[in-house]
Amino acid sequence: MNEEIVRRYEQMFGDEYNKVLASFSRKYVKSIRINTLKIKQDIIAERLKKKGFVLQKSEFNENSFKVLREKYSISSTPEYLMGYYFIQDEISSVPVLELNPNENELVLDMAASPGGKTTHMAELMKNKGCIVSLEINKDRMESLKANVSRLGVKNVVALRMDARRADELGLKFDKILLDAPCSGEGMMVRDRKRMDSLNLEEYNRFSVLQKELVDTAYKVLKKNGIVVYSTCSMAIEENESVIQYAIDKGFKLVKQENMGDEAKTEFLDNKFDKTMNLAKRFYPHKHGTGFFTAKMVKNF
Amino acid sequence: MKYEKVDLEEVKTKDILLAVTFTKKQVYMVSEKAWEVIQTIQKKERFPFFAGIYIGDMIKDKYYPSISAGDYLKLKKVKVKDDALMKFTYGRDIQNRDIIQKEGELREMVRVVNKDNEFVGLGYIREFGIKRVADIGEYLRLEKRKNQN
Repeated sequence: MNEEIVRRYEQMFGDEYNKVLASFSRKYVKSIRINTLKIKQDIIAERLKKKGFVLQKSEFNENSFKVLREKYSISSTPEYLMGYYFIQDEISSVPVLELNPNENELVLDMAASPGGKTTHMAELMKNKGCIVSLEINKDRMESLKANVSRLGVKNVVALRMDARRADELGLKFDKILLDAPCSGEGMMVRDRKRMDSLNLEEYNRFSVLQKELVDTAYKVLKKNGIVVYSTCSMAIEENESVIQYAIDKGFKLVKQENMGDEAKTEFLDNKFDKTMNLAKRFYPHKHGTGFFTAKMVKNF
Repeated sequence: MKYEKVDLEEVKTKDILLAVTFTKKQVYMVSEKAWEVIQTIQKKERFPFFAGIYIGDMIKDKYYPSISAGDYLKLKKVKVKDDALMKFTYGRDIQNRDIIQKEGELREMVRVVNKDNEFVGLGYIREFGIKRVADIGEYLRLEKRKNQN
């Protein structure tokens, strides 16, 4: 692993930094989220158990399970093909549950593929209202299309475009999910190659893009609208620095219901808004994955 | 590239059906609010890559259902034993000995379902059983193809 990153972890975690590094080497445990648009959670869980899968309820989402043992790949069961569940890290439910979109709303998903969060929002919206899902990459858009169809989601309008240009659509949204493109360092347990390639410069590169996405979110959100910002990164540059930028624009952080540690109000020479502790951090050695969520309202 | 409302007598739904022509004419099933949004953005000369459930294609005004249309098609059904269904989802036809219950006539397109009436695929009734047209294994084959590329 890059020495700069190891040093960063020492600065951020103190004596615990070895635990963080060790957590990237443990066995990756898949999770599934039940698609309640098609089936009840207890029915599908029972069916999978009968087929020899060992499931454990997620602590993040009542409709998600960790897959502790697979008799064969959980992505090749008839139940998967029937759209009864989506294979998705359990932590990924958190930003959607915080956004809590309802069936009358117009919602924007600024980085939609492969569709885990879009289809989860569709469930909460009971397949009504509308989710505008943006994705710039064609192959990833095809994955989104297949997953939306497999899960029976009717309230999605998907556009292949750069989310930074969402204001060109002429729409104003009640809620926005900004699950931002990021360094992905929180998911290194799933992708260990990232341990070698990650560097500080990458944090800064993503931070620029993330702030540009915040700019667009601000433009297209209705007054009193809600945005949930999330990343699977632990970097200050991709999290607190971006949220500070959002606060300076006029967003206000609000309380979140989920667990997780308070975000940092200061780090090294950086001092952030005192409300920054309302944002949440998740760590691989404590919560299974490195993740960050911030829920904000646009007051004017 | 403009999405337009269509009616298809082969599909049972209270939702809205839309057709759009890219390289071919595709049909989607969407919610009412999604249709309103599409109309708004089309005025800005923006056109969705897709919307809602992709339920098939139209070729010379004839509708060809996709696998995702299975739950909404007005077709008779054929109920099939689990073991044979597993082979069916790998692209095999179904023999008469594996059929539990059959509706429909020879050469008619039918929905192939499991013992719990869950949709597994589409096929034509033939003398030997069911000739496979499409099955839910396509989702998996699509993912494998993407991973190989």
